[in-house]
Amino acid sequence: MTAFADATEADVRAAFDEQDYVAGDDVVTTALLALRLGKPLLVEGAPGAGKTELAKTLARGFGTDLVRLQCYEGLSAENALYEWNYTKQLLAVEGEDASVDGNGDHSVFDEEFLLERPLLRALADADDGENPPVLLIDEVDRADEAFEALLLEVLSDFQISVPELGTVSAERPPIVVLTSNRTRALSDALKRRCLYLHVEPPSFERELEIVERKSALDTDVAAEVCGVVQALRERALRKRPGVAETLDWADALAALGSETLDATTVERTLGCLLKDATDVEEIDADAIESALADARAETRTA
Amino acid sequence: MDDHLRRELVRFAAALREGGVAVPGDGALAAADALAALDDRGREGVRAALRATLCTRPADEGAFDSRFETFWARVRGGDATYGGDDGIPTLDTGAEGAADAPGQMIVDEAAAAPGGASGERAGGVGPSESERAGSQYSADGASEPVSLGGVRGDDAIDDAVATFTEAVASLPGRRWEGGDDTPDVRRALRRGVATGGVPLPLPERERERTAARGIVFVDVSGSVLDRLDRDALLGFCHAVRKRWRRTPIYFFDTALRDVSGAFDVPAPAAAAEVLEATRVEWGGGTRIGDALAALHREHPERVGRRDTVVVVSDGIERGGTDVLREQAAWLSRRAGRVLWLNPLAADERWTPSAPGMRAVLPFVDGLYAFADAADLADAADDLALRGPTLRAVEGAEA
Repeated sequence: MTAFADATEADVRAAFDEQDYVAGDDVVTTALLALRLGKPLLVEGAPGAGKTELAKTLARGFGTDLVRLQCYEGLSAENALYEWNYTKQLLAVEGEDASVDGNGDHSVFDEEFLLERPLLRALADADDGENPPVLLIDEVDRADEAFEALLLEVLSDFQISVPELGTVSAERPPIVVLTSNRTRALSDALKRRCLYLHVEPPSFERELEIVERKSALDTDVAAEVCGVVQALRERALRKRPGVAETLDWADALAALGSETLDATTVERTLGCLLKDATDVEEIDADAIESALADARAETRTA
Repeated sequence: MDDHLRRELVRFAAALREGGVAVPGDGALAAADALAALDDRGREGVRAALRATLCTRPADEGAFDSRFETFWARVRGGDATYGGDDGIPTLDTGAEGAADAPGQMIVDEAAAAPGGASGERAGGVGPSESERAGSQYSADGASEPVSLGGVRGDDAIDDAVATFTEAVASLPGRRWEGGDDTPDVRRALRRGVATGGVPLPLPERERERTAARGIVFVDVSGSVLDRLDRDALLGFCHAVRKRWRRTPIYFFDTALRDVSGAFDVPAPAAAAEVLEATRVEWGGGTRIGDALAALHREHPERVGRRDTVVVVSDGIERGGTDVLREQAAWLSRRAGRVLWLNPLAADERWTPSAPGMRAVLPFVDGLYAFADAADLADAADDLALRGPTLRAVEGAEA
């Protein structure tokens, strides 16, 4: 397996192809820079645009582990770095297997009592194997600013201090991919430390390529599916469908054995695409007919 | 990297900033690193690399794309010029076709190493692009509109330093001199013995007051520069160098550098140019303890008992706090007083929770906020009124 530092553009492209991840040249180049420069990659874009999948693809494509930290409001340092296993410590002290002050053979502040959380695990595992793991910090915009400050420190030095044990650092830092849905602006300080990639919804041709690779749908129906999705994205919806929704819809149609796409089928399966009640109301029969007409026109042009 | 490309990268970053693009302070150097890491330096590869390093918001991509054409034309030897704020570049007719010329850029990887690109890692040394970039950082890391002016020798900071200087000069020193503050028992005894016990007027004494002199340490790590207005910082250093007696100025992040000479110029803008010319690097990590230890080891004589030591730092220490504590204690014993100016303290939510800050607090006489000229003016007023205090800490912990 190719080492991250020695990866070429062809390697990245091959890894993406192998995982059926359809990426434009800009995504390939930016991912390559993240591997070579060892800088965190901040990927922003609408939900369902393939941001998380990018990190998973990199990990699978280069044969390394993916360590995922899902961010949420109130995420604390303990949840992200490490915790002591208090129950185990108490049992060890009561059973006199270990002592608190470390005077005996065994201290309750040994590694066996430490619960590694994603950030620490990514650093602790970084020097194992041919490549360090890919650390996915998902939806970082959902965490609060205090956690962002913690990330700044970890991403600057790639080391974490555990007062009772010492400093854990990585000779080869993990490849870090941060994703954000832009629900809030991230700090300039964090952005400054990252390479930035904004993922736009794909063009008709690229989305068709994705659907063809990822679903069992017939090509003609897949083209109509993509055409309808493209037409819906032009509308003022509260939550425009992303690539993930397109793939869900394609899978649903394949499961139903649909060989053509008509207004009735679209109406019945619209829930795969639209996830907001207002949007579902907005797309009535006329809108569906119009989207289908646009899709067929797009398919003919393509 | 050849000079032409380096210049064009810096110029491109400046043109983006002028167009309202939020380019990171060290954007040009990050861009140079990215170009050096590319195999394919064709137009689209270069575009992707520069976008990844110079853009941080989707809204900026239009401005980026329009200016990239000019950048590409100029790199290819054309004479295109960046347009105004409308985001539309103007291409010179003499360069027609240059933007579309096929071919590869030539990048020398070695020159793209840190420090190789005209101080842009710091994003703050040059009087134009860098200073503007610096002022785009805010106190708590959140985005907020700030001045985009370059280093210009602000009167406000000069006035604030003048007040600060007077306040420092009026502080009592450690030495005693004749005065009327307190009885001088030792002298009274000596005189009594000398005169065979004949009663004499009781001698009195007071703490010696001297001109402001000392030593200034400025933490130029990335975390400080994210929050401190660089215009104010350079203005402060320049004014201190001008107004204080024999006061060396040191920059440090992971190493200590004497930059006093850079401020022996008529104006802060000129100081910025000198710093740029000497390629002082800004924006790395911080090892405050190691930097102080280097001074302790190499030039301990530069800190005297009459000196006021001013440290501009956020106290975020990447090295060991034991070293920092040890060196702060030495500084405290050796100097007349230690004043700490912390850019983070300007934020009302700040508390001294960083291990580095906690380690040095017992050895600091006065702690004040310093993110801009107004903070320094407040610090000077407080110092003149109350003497050195740790009210900033007490307020934060209250």
